[in-house]
Amino acid sequence: MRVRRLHLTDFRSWREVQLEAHSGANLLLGPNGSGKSNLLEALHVCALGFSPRSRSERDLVRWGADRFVTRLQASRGETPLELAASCDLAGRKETRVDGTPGRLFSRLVGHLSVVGLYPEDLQYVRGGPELRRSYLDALSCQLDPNLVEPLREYARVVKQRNACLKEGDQRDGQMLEVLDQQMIEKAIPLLEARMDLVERLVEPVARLHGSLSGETESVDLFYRGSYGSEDLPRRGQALRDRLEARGRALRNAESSAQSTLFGPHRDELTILLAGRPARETASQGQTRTLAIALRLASAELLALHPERPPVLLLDDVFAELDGPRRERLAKLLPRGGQSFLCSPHRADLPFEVDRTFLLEAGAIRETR
Amino acid sequence: MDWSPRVEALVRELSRLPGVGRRSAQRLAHHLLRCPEDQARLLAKVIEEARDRIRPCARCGNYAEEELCPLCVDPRRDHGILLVVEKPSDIAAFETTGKYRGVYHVLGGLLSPLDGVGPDRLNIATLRERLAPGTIREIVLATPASTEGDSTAMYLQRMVPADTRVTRLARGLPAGGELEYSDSLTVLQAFEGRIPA
Repeated sequence: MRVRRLHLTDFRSWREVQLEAHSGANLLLGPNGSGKSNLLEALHVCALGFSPRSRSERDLVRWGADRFVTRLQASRGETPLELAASCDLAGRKETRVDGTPGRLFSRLVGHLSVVGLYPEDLQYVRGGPELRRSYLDALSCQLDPNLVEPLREYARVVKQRNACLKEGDQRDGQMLEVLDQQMIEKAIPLLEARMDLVERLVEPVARLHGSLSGETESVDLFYRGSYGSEDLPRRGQALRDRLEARGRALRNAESSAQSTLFGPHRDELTILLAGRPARETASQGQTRTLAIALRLASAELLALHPERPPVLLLDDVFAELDGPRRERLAKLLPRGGQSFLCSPHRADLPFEVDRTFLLEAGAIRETR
Repeated sequence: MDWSPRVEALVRELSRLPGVGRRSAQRLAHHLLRCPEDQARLLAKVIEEARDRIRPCARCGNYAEEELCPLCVDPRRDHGILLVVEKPSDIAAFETTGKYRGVYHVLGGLLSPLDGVGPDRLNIATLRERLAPGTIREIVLATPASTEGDSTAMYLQRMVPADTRVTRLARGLPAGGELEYSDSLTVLQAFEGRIPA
């Protein structure tokens, strides 16, 4: 799987630009503000259907323009693949997957595996639980696109349930009971997927963090549910019973909070470093190496799929690391796949690249 | 462009119709002003008459000119089987099949607390009356395959008497649907809902 060509119109800082990619390492070289990260972001949007930096697709429209279009041509072996996304200032969206039109950006996921390492990833370790949930869900959806729709539906049911709790009347409580049942039904496959994923991530995250940091503290991941006691049943009926019991126990609290207080949208992925929550205790350097380990572990899981070694997007990650860690990261990066790196200086890179693009004055120039 | 205020008013009102944008509204307005006068007057007249005369059927909520709609008074229909739909236009979808011979119940919407639509905003009280034990053999919950369609069906299911069979529409592949071009959720639902060969 490789990206052949990326074409942007009115995306972030770019008016119109096209990039012809090499199947190996592509370096985007340019000063701050030259639009390097925006190119990676456009790739990310095409492959995964969301921006790593922005919650609203409208923000991606170039200042002064009224809609952006980003189009990506790739190939899976001999088969061509084309993914395109656009959104206007009114929020009207269009997508194309191999020419088939649609609206939802979420339908883009599952065709081209992509893993990005961004400076903002520190937040996955340090920020609120919602970020770690979205890390898990985005990776789950890449591994199994059948989860995209259930995730959307679950979010919708929670919104309905919150509205029902706010209304407060519930003459006979029937509506709330229906929404309880519906929410639990939608929650179970999501919880199963998240717990399976966490189990698969524990070993690679710990190993990669060790290799990268050169430190020996233990790293562990722990899925902490919002369902009372800690040991969450892994599957089916036992899990359903636990959720139903939690719903009954929280009935009064939810009525006064007017909001849904349990479910996948309230769970937490706890990252433990030497047995203590990394969110509270990790140093700046440890936070950075943990964040990179989470991303590299994603790449490892995605690479298990034979047709889908992921395309790597490395947004200026080397600059933030000291010399030894930079060397170790270069060794840990998966070999043989395609990557896009951006950096203000060539000197930051601990390895050779196959093609270099110079970004200046709103244009891209290919150099050798 | 500045039209006369009456033309503008016509365009504005037409553009409020579903699926009609400003452009199509202009085309329709020009047509109405240039076509034979009888034709435009006839349209105005049938709209007015329809609005005057058509009201919800007292039993099922379908369009009716009398107290009951033609389907509810038809003795050839099977009144022991009841198909519940969101809106009157859904009835047309089943009627064109020519295969369904039961009667209908129109909810007039779907339960959605987010939009402030609770059970009392829908045509549910009359449905409860119709479901008095021993009257209906089967109720088909034909609400759409959306989260609101599901919650509405689940809500209704709770008020069906024990001796009444409750069914929902199957989900899966459209007729003539190519497997390889179907999204995976649809294929999955079709597989999970597979039937004995």
